[in-house]
Amino acid sequence: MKYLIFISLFLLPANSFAARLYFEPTNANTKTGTEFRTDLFLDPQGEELNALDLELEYPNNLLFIRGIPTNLSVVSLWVKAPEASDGHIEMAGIMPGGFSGIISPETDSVGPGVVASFIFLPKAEGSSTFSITRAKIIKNDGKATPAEVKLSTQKIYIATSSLNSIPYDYVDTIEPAIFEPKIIKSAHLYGGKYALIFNTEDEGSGVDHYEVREGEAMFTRAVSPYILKDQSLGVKIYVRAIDVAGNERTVEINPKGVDVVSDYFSLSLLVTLAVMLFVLIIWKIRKKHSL
Amino acid sequence: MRKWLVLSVVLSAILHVSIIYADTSSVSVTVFTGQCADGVDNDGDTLVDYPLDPGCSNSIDDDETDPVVTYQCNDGSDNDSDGKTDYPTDLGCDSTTDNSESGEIVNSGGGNGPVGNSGNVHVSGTQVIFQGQAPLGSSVTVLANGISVASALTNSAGRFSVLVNELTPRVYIFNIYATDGSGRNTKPLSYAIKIARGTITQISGVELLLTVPALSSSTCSPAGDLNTDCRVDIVDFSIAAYWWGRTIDSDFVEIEIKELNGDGEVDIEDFSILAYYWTG
Repeated sequence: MKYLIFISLFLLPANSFAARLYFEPTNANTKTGTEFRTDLFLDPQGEELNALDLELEYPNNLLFIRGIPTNLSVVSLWVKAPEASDGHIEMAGIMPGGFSGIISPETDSVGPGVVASFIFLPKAEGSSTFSITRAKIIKNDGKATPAEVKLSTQKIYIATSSLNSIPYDYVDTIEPAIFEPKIIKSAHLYGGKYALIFNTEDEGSGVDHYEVREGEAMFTRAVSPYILKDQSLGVKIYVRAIDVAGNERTVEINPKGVDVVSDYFSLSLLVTLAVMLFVLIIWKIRKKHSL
Repeated sequence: MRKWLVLSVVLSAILHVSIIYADTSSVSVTVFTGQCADGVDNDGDTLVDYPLDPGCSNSIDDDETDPVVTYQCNDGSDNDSDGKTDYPTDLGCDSTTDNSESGEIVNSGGGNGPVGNSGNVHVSGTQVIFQGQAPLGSSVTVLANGISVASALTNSAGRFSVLVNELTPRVYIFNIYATDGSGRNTKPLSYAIKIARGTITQISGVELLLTVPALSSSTCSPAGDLNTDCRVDIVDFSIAAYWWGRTIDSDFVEIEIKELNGDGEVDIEDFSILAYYWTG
């Protein structure tokens, strides 16, 4: 019996340590009007992960969400950037190449990384929880294998305060990094129409959203990929990245001066068809002459 | 019985820990912070770090010493050829900081006053350096958060040093791989590191090895290549993002079957496949 226990424990798979999603701090004791910050951490626990799709729930009768900084996030590209609506926050993103933990320069070991941060303004007295209601974490194995994940909640206690509100203090005066949007034309995107793709980084608080302006039109909120209203590519395009603190960076694109990214297959197909047509014409001409 | 149980748990824990940290055991990460970002007044001029201290040309400058400013009236030369040198001997000089021995205003060219020389070797921006070993004659490529940011060739001993410049400080997942002279790629390695402003982060001991069978860069990615350009990058990501939450059309159904997981919709599992086969 004792040998059986020994062997069974020794042969436990290494990945029996499930990845963890948890909040820091685990308990938030605060007062009405005093903003606080909560970080959502992902600890791979020995797994290599590359994608996540999450839904969180917070008590919107007690809390107002002031911002969701992502500048510390391990997520490289957001499919759906974190967005709060009616007490729910959804987000999905990827980590190309896989994430097995942030390397600590002090120890060269790996540790958990932040997925996103949340700045809350308590608006009423009470207690509740900030929880994860959906969590899909995918392994970096090329087969989209779901990883086992352990979830934690944050307990929130809010007392009444008669003092003036105290904003969460984070300094961010740096605008988002310079970026180069691309114009793309793909058979699989907006029915083959011209679209714009863009992405940038922000050091201080993370990009909150983007806005696009075509020619003299107004800036409008946009997500990538964005279908261009002017399909003639006749006017200049401006893309503005605005971070959580409100700093902004605007870049300009002159569609006439940039290369459009097209489907490789479509181009090669066109060339093939042109060659086939040419051969057919030659063959017909020769046939006509031979008659 | 209890002894065996304790022994089992200890051995099992040792095994798990060694596996968890296996990915980074061969590399060493060193972060260097220069004088111009260390929060210390290194040259005693009461000014600290870039951009306040005039001795700092940028945040990774490692010398806060103020530039030695040279004016015509303190440079030891008879600039106006009147036989008199510098203040107060040359009457054309109002002070040691006067930049004209002839009594005229001298345009320094740049419009920024007197010409100075701090004597520093200036390098710009926050930097990351990858160093290690790769197949002889190969080219090493580094991606930062999925975007190709730098590449370098190995030397005659197969060693490489790739410098990534001008990164916006944040957490990055770096992917690094080498392509040898025959177009074969090594298995990409991945490192998640927090990069702080004004630092030089050195990742040394990176070993890029050809797998058996070798991954060929001359053939297309086996999956994730939605626009069939033989790469998996931000364009494929954008196409997949377009179909997120949409019902895919009949044309894209075939692509989804061939390049993604073929379940008839674009969801996080499909993005995981893109992330795995990512080439940047």
